Amino acid sequence: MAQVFKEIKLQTGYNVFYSSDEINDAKKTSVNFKNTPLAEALDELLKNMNLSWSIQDRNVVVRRKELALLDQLTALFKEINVHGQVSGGGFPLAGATIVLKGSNRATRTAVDGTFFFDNVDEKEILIISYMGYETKEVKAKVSITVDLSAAVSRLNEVAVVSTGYQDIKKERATGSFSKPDMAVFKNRAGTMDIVARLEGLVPGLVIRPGLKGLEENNQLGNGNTSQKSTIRGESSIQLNTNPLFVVDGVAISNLNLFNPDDIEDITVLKDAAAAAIWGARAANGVVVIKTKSGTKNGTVNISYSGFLNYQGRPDYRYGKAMNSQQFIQAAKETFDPQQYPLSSLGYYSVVAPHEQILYGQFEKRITEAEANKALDSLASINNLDQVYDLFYRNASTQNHTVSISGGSNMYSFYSSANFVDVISNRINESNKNYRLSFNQSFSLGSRLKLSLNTTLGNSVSSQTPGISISNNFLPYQLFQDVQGRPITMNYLTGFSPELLADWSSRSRINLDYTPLMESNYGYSKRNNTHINLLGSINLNLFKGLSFNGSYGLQKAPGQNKVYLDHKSYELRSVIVSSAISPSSDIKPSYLYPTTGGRYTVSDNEERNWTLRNQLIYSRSVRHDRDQLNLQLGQEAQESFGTSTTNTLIGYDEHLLTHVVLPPTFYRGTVTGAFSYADFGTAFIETQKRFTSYFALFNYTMNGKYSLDASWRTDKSSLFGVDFSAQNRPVWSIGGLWNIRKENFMSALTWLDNLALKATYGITGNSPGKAGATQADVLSIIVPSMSQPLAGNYMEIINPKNGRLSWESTQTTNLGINFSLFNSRISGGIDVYFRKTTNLLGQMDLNRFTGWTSALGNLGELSNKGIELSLQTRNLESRNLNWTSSFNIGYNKNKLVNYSGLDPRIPLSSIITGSLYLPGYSTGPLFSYPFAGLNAEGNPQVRLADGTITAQPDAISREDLIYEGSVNPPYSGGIGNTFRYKLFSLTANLIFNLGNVMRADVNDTYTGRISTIPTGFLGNLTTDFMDRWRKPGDEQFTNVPAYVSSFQQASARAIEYYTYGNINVLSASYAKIRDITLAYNLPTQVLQRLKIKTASLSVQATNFMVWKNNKLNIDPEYNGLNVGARNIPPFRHSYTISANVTF
Amino acid sequence: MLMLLLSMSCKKSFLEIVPKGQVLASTVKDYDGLMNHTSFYANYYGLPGLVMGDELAAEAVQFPSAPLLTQRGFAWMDQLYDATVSSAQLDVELKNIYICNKVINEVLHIADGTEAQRKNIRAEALANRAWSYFGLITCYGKPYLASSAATDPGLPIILTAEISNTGFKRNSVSEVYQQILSDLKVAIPDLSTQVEVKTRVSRQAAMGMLGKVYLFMGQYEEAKIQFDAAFADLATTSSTTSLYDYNEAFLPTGVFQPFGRFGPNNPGNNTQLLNEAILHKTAILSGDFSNTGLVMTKETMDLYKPSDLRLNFYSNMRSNFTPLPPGLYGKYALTYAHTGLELADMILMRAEVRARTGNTAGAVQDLEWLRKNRMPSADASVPSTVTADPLKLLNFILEERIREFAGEGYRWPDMRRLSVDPLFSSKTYRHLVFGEDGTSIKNTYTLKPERFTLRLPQLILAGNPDMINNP
Repeated sequence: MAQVFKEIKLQTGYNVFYSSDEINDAKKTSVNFKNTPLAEALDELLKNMNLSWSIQDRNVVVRRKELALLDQLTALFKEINVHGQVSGGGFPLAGATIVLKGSNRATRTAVDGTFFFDNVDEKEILIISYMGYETKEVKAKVSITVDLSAAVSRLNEVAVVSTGYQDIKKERATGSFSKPDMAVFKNRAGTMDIVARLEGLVPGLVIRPGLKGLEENNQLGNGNTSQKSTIRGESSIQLNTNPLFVVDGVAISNLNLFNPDDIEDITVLKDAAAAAIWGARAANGVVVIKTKSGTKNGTVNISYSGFLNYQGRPDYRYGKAMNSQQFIQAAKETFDPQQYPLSSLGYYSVVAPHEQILYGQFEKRITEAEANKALDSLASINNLDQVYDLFYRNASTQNHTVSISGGSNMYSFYSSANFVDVISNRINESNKNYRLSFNQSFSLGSRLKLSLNTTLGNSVSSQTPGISISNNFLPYQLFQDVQGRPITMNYLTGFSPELLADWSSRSRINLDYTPLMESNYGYSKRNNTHINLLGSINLNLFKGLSFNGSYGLQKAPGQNKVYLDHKSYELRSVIVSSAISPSSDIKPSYLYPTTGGRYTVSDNEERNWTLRNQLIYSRSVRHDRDQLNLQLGQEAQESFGTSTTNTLIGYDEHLLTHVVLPPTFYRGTVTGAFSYADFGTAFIETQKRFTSYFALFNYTMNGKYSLDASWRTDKSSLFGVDFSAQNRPVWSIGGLWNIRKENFMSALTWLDNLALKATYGITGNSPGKAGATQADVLSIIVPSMSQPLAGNYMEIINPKNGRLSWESTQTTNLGINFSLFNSRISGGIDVYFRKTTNLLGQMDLNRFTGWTSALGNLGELSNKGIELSLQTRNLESRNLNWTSSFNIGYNKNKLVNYSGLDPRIPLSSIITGSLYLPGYSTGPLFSYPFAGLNAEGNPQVRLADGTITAQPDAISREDLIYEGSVNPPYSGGIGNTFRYKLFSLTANLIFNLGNVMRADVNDTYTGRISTIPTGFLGNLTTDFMDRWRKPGDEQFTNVPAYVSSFQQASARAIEYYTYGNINVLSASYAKIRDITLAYNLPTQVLQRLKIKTASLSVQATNFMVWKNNKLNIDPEYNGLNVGARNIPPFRHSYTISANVTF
Repeated sequence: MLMLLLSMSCKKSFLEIVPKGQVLASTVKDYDGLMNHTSFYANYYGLPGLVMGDELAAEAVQFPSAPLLTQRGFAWMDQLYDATVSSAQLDVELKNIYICNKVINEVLHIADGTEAQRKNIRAEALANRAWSYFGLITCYGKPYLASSAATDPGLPIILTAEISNTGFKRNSVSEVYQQILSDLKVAIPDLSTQVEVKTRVSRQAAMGMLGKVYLFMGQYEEAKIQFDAAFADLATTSSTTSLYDYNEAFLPTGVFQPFGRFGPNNPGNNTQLLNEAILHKTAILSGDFSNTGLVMTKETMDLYKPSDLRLNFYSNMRSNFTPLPPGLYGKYALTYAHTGLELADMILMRAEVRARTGNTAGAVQDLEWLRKNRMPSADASVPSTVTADPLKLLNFILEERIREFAGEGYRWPDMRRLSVDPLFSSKTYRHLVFGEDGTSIKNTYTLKPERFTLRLPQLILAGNPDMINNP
């Protein structure tokens, strides 16, 4: 306003006189005058503002409008209707919450930041909050204009954390809670996986990166996957270490059901005080997700958000595979027909084209010149282009979400429709997702509130059979000829040409194997539907006492259909094996159907329900100086899953007919014998139930001292475990001291907030959860033998373990929260100690027990760590803002001891396996003390006593070198956001430090260099070229010699080199996970387009900034333990996205 | 509705769900199902004795590509198993002992079924436990010699099913044999002569097993009593157990037709042909100890008369269908070795104890019973030069065992017991590897006396560091 008056003086020369009080009471406005007379302009400016104007001389005087009589009468009743506007950093804030202090009444701002609040006592206080902004308390008056401090969304100054059971003001929460930056979360369009989007945003939450991190398909085979994650290190060996995911208060088994665009808020619960209320399932921490709900201000918002993400194809140049010339050279050098005479290869082994030439030359069927010419021509072929063109395409994803939200105080809703189309890099794959969600809430009077969240999803995917090919196949083997005709590669079947010809002619079935054609001979199609209903009821019973009920129902039916036609090589070879051909001139008969195909249909369904009833007592004590909150509750849960799989043979897709073939074993077919086991119908049915009771207690004294306590007991329908064994309540206790509020701190004006907190709690896992039992559990087995003799039998699937007990984890957390210099710097430090005793795990048993291993209590695991998170507002000005965030978690875990039997883990398992050894971190990596090559080119080791030897069995456990863990002790993220006017640039860096990995060295130094039957392997890596070839080479190379015979090879130990200390590298790296440039369309443009807000952004991902290895290995895509380099599915992904609100 | 849900969730029965497909053993049917386990009868993959008999030789082309355990076993090496490699035989038999112990200790206490049913199942478990121990002690304990058995280290006797057991100690060979005898003796009265399928233990089977154990202990009189009793029982069930007459079986319409790629359709490669089984158990010949690269010695082939129809099981092809050097033969029609109790075995064992106890006529009668079914009857009779000399007769019976069971792992236990038999203990054994021409000798391995007893695998010792291994 004052600004406008200044402008008036500038343009007209009239001074404007006003009282600053009056002007401040007036609401902010934006006006646009062009050649308007002053009087008209002032009228326009001051209307609706309780202000009047007059011109005296060349001065304009602005005064408070005299109230009309009616207005004056109304004012006497002190009940006013508040209208106001909320802005943040000068921009109107849509959806800010206005709560009448001490009541349940609340509203939200409209899209232009305005709000109305009826019938408010003038004495009362309104609390105005908006996610990421500082909350303000304002005295109620008719007109309120509030500008929340120019905060940025990166600053997670969210006032409230949610445990899924209750919302706690962050300033009084004793537990260890973290919230990700939701703006970054929202912008990470590269993935629709909610877990993957959290990477680097929460200290202590580690996302297992890369392909290896993907979860396995679940038992019912509905194919849902999301990335593995752990909070504060692995606390268990045997059990799943993923956190528990909770959506709108209900634990969810399948997070994929939810659209990231529908998520409003996420809280990560890390210590016992935060998570113990979730009981036994919370041992790995909890991720609490809140979905969006409607606004209550009477307007309707329609928004669109969408993105297009481009990933391209895998980059095979990243690997170290040999090219054709190198491969042919290596093949020539290693060819040893004396060791491997063609005649000894038998009837089931592959003789690759280059070997056919070499054997031809050796057996003098072709001359040396002819052989060389043929090999040279192979060496000149490179199949990579064909691999790219014929098996891959550019991967991309598009996602569109349209949402509508709106409502009033009585009823509000949020509804969205979402479509995701994933085009993977594999040809002939399709994956589409459709999701609808509808969240509603009803307020019936001031006592009763109901809400109902509904989600409906459908995912449809399909793919064709066929081969998976990478750069480790024979590099000269093309897949189609110059005319584009697919190439037949019968040598890959492993059968000799004579045998194939004989079988084909006698069975009259062609046995040609043409890899490229195989994808035409079948399909697999998956169709999953998800329905999720979450209802809640909140009833105020009596002063401060309320009842809260939450009820969730999830249903997910799905179907998977797999068809393989009789034209496929696989079925043709079955048909041939079933052909009975007494003589070549009689048409053969076939035991296996020769038409149609093999059709497998799996139907699966998941049905889960949860119900929770809570009594909440919440009131102020000691004249509002203290706050008390008490909850008692009960919960019941069931998860039920079924799966039925049917396999039909000779299935005709059009006639829907099939052939019934009983289990058959028949001798005397074309290939010798035919055996067929009827797969029939397979059923899986699982059902689990839980009942739980819990209690929560919170007390805050003088706003300075808080005490939280929780207690919960879970009982479940575990089989083979006594109920009495389940009586293990989990509990926690925590305290917080808000030091800043003490009087002696009042002088420190630069300190906004300082709080100390400490928590302790015990969580646990029942042995049954890991599948261990206190009785022998039997299961009936139908023998899979082709000649079943005695029929079904009973198998002991779990042996009884009389000494089982609970896995229990004690967690202590100490933390500091702080905020300095008017929130320019804020953050927290947490230190935690976690000790897991009676760790459940697969333990090696004394073999005389009859079992090699079983589930039991292994020992004690400790996790210690420290976490720091820091947010800073580095630069704040009208046009330019710069904010940063930094978080880092350090975790050290150690298997303290084994209380189980001494498993005497063999040396080779220590070297190759990711085993758990007492005294070491989980995922320990050991290496051999490599000591160069000996004069025969064999790797040597230096033993602890100084001896250098190449003897395979010479080394013992004491000689091994402990290199560190494959799990990173340090991980975290750094984010920076720059905002210039309407542009913003955000870069997020993630890092994993301090762990180790093996380099991907060649490990083939013996045998024939060829491929395997119908396998697409066979290539070597280029370090093979640096191998030892002649005495003296050991001075220059560490790469062992090639020897052709296995006997020679078993006299040496190649693993001294491949698993030697020279091939262990640091796996530390830092990557810019994403860079995003966003642009908000200016208001003028928006008004012309008749839309409320619009932003566009572009994002690029995955830029390696630093890695601590010189071999160009991306640790994200390396088998850390074994040193296998995976080819990343893409190098960088690029995304364009748009967000529009109408 | 809320109250309904509340009350439902509070009931204890809400949690009592028996998962589909799982059960805690409580009925006769459950325990019967345990004894019906395939691990008691079907093809396990690592019986060391399969490659150790002296009826075998190796050939240089394929032998190097045989499994490492085959190569080491054939060479009678000290250390068969690498530190990390477990023995399939031990794994299977110890697991079987676990199942048997569970059944033995529990089944009499269940409420279900009749007492006879419960006792029958327990007896079956006892007999199987005995057989598992007999298989193991004939690998890891010294051959039974009454004078030293009480001090020779054997194997731990495990009588409870409990995975947390530790502190295992090696009982003496004598104690193990006493346990085997006692288990079989307790079992026999509770067993029936009729079984549903011959993978299950009948009374005649248990008595035959007991006879075999006595034979291996050198107690021939005791053995004879058991064999006679078993044959008496068999006579009542002769319709289900009899010898195939090869003179008929090999006819174009016979049961051994058709000849496939793996030879005639016979009990050696078709487990449905159960006529000759008293107790059917098999071990597969393509596992850890496979017959890859193994052939018969020339002496073995010379044991057969040209008219012996058992020659049909031999071929001069390798398992990968490349031809063997001239003069070498492999038993290609053999996929499974029979490790239970075969009628032919019991006939020959009774012939042996009869011969050893002076009943020459009985021995010859048994021998000819078998031989008549294996060759034209004109050639079946035992030569009079043999019948005249008890030692020659004994040798003839032992050779007949080779003719009948070559390549099936029967010879190795026989070699073991003969090593402590004063009549044969001076014999030395060697294994030859033939060169590519089929006549030159590429390698010779000689059996050291201490290698009649295998060393315990290192993996077993690693978990039991106080246990002393065999020399």
